[in-house]
Amino acid sequence: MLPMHRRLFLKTAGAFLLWRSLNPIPAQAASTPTPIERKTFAAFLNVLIPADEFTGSATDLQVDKKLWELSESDRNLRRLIEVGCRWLNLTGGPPFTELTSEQQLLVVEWMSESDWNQVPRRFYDLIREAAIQHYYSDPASWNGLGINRPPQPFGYPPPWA
Amino acid sequence: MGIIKKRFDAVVVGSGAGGSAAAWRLSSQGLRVLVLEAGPKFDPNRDYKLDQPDWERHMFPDLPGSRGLFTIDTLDPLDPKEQELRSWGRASGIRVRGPRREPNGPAYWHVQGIGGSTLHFAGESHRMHPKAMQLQSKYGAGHDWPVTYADLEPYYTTCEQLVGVAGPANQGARWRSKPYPLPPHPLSTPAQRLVAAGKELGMNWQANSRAALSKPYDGRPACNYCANCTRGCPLGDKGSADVTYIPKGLSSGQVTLKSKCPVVRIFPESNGRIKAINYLENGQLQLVETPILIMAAGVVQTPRLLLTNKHLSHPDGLANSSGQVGRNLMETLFWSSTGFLPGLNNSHMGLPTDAICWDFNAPDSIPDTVGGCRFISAAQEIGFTGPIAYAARAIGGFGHKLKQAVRDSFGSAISVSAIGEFIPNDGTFVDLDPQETDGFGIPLPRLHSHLEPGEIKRLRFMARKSRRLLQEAGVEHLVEEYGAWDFFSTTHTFGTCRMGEDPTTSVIDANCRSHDHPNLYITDASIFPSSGGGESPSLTIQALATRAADVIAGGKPLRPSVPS
Repeated sequence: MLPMHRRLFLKTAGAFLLWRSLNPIPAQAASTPTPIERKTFAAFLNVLIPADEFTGSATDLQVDKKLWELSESDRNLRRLIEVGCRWLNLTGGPPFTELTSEQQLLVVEWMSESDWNQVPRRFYDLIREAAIQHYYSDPASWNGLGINRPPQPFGYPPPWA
Repeated sequence: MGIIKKRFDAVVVGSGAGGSAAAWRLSSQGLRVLVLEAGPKFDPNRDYKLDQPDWERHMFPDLPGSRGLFTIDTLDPLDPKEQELRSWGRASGIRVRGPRREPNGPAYWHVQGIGGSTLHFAGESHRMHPKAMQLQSKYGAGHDWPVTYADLEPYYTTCEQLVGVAGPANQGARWRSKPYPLPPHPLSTPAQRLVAAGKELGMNWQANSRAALSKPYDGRPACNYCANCTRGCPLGDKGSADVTYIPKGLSSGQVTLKSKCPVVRIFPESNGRIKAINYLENGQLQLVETPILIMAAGVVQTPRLLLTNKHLSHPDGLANSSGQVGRNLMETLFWSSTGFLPGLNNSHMGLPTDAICWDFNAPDSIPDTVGGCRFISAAQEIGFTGPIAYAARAIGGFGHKLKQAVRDSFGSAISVSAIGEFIPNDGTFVDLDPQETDGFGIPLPRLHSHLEPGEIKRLRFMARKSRRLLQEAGVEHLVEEYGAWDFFSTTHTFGTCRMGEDPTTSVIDANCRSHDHPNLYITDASIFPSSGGGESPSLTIQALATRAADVIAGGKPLRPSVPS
């Protein structure tokens, strides 16, 4: 069950925040991430891409660090993370980082199926895409895939069967 | 303004398939040629990223000036009745959520740079179907070509030999006077499955003819099957113009090649002859006189240059007494379906577009519509060559399930793509944007696109046949489909300066010479009267360009071939 506070937030502020998050914002110094934002974002990324027996989690491969670096020059990404993390912590109860793993999964599951035009879904979709891009760009994520190097300079000489 | 004192026998605008082939052919006959390229020179070692860990995040590089500017007019509304043609992915869901077609990516995919769009092409090397060049006279649709397949055949052969095309011994209606210089490439694992599935359905699949070396050739190495031709080939085995026509031309000592030199003005004389052009070099305006001007700036920039150069004697732009410059734009009518095939391995390896089915390529081969199509094995070409594509496009969800699904499916993607005929229509053309200009105040070209019911019919045929093939191959669930019904995304683009015999309805004649200007030639894909049933255009552009060069240099082309 989604906490009521998140529903209320979504209903009253979602459209505005979505607009803000997807439209160009005048250049200005990006605000420094707060410790709460860093912890929340890292926890969210690790729900998207957790560690398992083959490979590390998103933060093990420093996906959070790479996205924070990107956000320093991308105001839209910075705003998206800010809005998304704020939404994740609007529980009225413990912040996202203090939810149990099962509760975190439920929240992200709900986000993944929510209205495409609202903040939680856009945050989920866009950060999922960005996290995948950076995670699978790291050779440390390739264990178990049958690849261990980029396509060049050696290519894939046949046979391939 | 600087004035170029050195005399050239010809100036070529653009260094892609058409410009580079024309320059090489002219230089090989002793003419001095200046080639002006608006874009930069790419350095494969520096600019192509296929040897980097994050290679999959990099498409073909977008260097400053490597794309021409343009705008796109409002696209067609989507008819809800055609839901089966929607683009979608298991991760993304429906791709176009608005009520109209949308541009995808750069929408008009091209490269400005030394080598032009051959730098990012997959390297299919196709001859036109002979019947596709007689569309109006035989089928009552579109336009006829003023040259025949037999006229082009000796030039097809010449260009295939120069580039080093690898292909099969027989391609049906596409008769040949000489075998391909190289044997066909081995088929990748998904291509083998499609060949087998096609056989069950009575479809004839074969090795595609490819401008990629199956053996070392002419000092270039053989392909090592990294599967990522469209991201830029660092080996030099792909037959892009920068490793074929351009070095051949430069080695003659007759070609002067300048990058980052966009042409801005063209000056005609009162008798119609082109006298000189202005271009920019390091921000300085240069003037060069020329006895011959060859335009090869592409389907969008060539008409833009002609339309923006209005003069008292040519108030509607150059070469435009017919009013046809910019008309007859033909875009890529494309479809692809993808699934995962249990038991299939290593589908991320091999040569993209390695297998093809020409069965429905003739103009009369699809029921109830004029215009054909072709099918290819496409898993590599559409990007299923790394884990990012699997996770971001074809596998939904997150967490442990996502990671395990990537491991379970990686290397099992199998895709069928189709490209079909696009019949010219009044709603698809290039004109000048009335409001948007470049940094020099010159209007930008504006693209208009419209799909007629015939295009929708062909798309439906292409989609259904693709799905049926995958089903026959053993795919139970599709994971992604992508097509031209809801996306405007054109890679093979034609028309806008159509060739024809009648000066009142076409821009250039059979020898690529302007009907209005006796020393102005055009040798890019803008001159195609029809798109063909999915044939990739680069080889035909090269054949037309080398033929035009022979006319310029020697007064007449080679004799047409005769089928044996």
